[in-house]
Amino acid sequence: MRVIVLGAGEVGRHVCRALSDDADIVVVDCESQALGIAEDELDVMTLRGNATHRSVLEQAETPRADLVLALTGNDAVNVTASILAKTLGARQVVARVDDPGFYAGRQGLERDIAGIDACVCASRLICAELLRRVTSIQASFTDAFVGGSFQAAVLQVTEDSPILVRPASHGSALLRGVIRGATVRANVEVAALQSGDQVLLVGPPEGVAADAGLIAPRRGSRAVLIGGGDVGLQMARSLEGVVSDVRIIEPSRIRCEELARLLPRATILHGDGTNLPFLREERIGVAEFVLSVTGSDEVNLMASLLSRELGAKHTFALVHRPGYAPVYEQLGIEGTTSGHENLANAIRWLLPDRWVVGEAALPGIDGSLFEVRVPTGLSRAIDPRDLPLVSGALVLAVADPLTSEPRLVSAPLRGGEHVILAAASGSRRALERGLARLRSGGSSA
Amino acid sequence: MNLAVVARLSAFLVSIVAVLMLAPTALAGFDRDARATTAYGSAMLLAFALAGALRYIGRHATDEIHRKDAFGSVAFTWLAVGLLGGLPFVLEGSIPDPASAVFEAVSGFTTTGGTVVADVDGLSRATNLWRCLMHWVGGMGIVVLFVAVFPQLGVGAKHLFRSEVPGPITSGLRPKIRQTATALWWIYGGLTLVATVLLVLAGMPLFDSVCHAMSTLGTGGYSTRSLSIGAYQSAAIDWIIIVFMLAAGLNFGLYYDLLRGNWRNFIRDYELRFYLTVNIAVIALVTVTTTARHDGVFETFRFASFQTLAITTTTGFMTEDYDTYPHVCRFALFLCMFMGGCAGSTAGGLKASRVYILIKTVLMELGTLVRPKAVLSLRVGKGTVPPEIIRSILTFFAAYMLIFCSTSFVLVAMDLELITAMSATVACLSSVGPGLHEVGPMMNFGFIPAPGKLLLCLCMIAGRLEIFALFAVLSPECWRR
Repeated sequence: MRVIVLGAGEVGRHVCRALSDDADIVVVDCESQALGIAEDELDVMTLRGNATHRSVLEQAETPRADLVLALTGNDAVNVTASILAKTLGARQVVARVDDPGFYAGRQGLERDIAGIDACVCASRLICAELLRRVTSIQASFTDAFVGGSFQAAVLQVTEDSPILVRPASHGSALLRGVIRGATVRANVEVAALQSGDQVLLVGPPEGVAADAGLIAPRRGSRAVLIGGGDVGLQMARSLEGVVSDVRIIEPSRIRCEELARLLPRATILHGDGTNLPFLREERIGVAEFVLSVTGSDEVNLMASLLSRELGAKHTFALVHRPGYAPVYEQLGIEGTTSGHENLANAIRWLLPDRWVVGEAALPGIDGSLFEVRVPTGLSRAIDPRDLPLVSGALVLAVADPLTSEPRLVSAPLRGGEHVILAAASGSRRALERGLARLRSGGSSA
Repeated sequence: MNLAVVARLSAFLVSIVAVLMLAPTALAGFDRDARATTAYGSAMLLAFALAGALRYIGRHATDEIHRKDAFGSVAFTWLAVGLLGGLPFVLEGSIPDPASAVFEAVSGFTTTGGTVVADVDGLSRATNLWRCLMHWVGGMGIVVLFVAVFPQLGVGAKHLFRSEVPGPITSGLRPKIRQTATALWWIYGGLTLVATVLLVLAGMPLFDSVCHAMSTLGTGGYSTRSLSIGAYQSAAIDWIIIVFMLAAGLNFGLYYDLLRGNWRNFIRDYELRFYLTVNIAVIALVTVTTTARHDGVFETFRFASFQTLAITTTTGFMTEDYDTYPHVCRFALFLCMFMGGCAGSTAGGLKASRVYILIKTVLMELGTLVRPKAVLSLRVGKGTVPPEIIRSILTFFAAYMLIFCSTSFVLVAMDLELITAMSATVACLSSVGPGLHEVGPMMNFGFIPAPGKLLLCLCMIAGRLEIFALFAVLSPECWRR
């Protein structure tokens, strides 16, 4: 697969690194210094030039490209270069557009805008990821599927779980599987839940968050955001419906005033998120969640450590350099998220000619959740039971990625739809082979 | 430098050389030459044993390859293959002196082609095959072959590739460095095959054709005959060799462009134009000044073309003794030895693109002397050369001249005649092979004392690895963990 990456900055390089095993990559940038770093770090071909120049895109052989990724730090350049690349005949084009106002939804990934196959917003992706973490705090596992429009969560059933006193239909419409012992069973196969079971919820994120409350008890809470930039602002808006009290700590007075105007329900605090007396005074220790989302890794790390020290229950931090994430976790920060990593995951999900587009290992058992794409070009819709899956695979959900709408698991599958299933870990290659065979069989038919 | 990583990589590289030794061993067996079979078989087993020992030392090595490790393994491999390559010569008895045998092997792998053997006709077929095979593998590079063959080296492959491939800018032909290395070997192998077939059709015996095709494409210069290509006295063979010497002296990336239909890139390449201009000028000079030596202008032109390209492509073949040319021609050819071929070719020397940029830098500096306020950029072809490339080229030139001066000085101190010492140094540093006077095309390097030979070996490896890869290993910083 031939991929052209426009922009050799931190984001471009990180995405190159993430795709380098699957793709032959050409990186275009007008800065020779950035290209020099890419040359040194990555096994890619580099080309110096302006990504909005037709001659440069032609030199990069854009008409032959399977995927063009416009990932410079300038939205206008990315949109222009993407439209140009699409005009030149690139098979699929993805643009990074950081301005949240460009998007209609909050997922951070939107399809088919102005001829561009997909636009991705790093700050929106970060917010979606953090929100998922916060709303699934009781879950032992959670991950996003179908470009963030679906979520899976595993929750432990305990003696005091509300679901045990409401066994009829297991209480939740999104309960798709039960992990008992070391196996995943379909929910219909389990007559009654019992303490020690783990339940598998799969569906739209807000639905999963709501249903999680049926399984694990929820607490009223306060969330403190350290940093009132783009991510802080969007995160505050997202959290307003989740927690009862949202506070933002921001060092810039002007930004504070702007935030106060934009977020009438939130409390805006002018101060330094790494100032211990200030954090004490604002009783940060009673917060259920502290999310450090400034533009500086050092500030995020320090603020998270201090908040944890003061007694905050759950601390999350935004990591700008993905390599730092393990260090944060070693120091006791509960969760980290990285804009680069989220962007790379979203792009990986968009890669053409791949049938297994997502994979996440389930905790404690030899099983994983897989997201597979039903090959396009099939002569007819197929029954889910006819999908060439590995033995023991359990179909959990079906979705149309264009509309992000869930569909009935038993309904016939159309090409391009995504199926979320549970199967033994290590089934990826077998699934890829089976679906590739299905495609070639379907095409010849 | 992580010695375990260096050992693991060197193990693979040494084993490639061991596998190559199968060819002369098999030929010696086929020829029922017991002595050669034993010599090459033993050397092969020893090479495998060394590879095994290195593999054992590097058994705990990580998969990550840093730039220092790449320099270390490339430099170690080139030094090791010199010793291993010379071993069969000593065992067989064809070159009993160890220093001379090492010189012959290093001269082979670095595609220098300077020999210590006075009677090449008396060598066994296995030895002749091994000499030319060393040229062929060394031409495109053992490391490039390694990168092409072994998957999963990742970005480390790029560091390895750059440590061996000649030229100031080693841009890839394909997105992945492994694909680039594979493409280069396919082009190289294809050209060698075509050259072999044409030489056979021109009447050269098959064995000689194979050897000379490998020697030509590697821009080596070892021949199976004492009189080199001149022994065949064939215009057709001369012209075939001329064409393929020129082909080997050009940037192989241009052939990739040609294969993909980008002929415009080929004809618009500034380095190609400059290189051809220099060659045409020198051929014209040699033709004009040596007309009296041959029957007619066309024959003179043929000999002049052959000798000029043999020097400018750093091949070092001969059809006549250019040391007997008029002084102006000898000096022109001596200067051409410094320049060598194009970047990205199998030729050695400073490289045409560097010389071109050096000349343009001098002109640009002259321009700023006259107009100090003028801001000038150095343009080559359709683009400009960034200051960091100019700086690296100036540094390379300074290092090259420093090595040339110091080695010549040491050789003169060993009582070698001045022209001999200087031409021997540049012939080795630029991997040309024969020099002038006592190391001229009709002579050999056998008379040089053993320390001088070993010093020239270092020059050959330094020249082949573009100086810095070898000298980086000598810096203490490279050895810090």
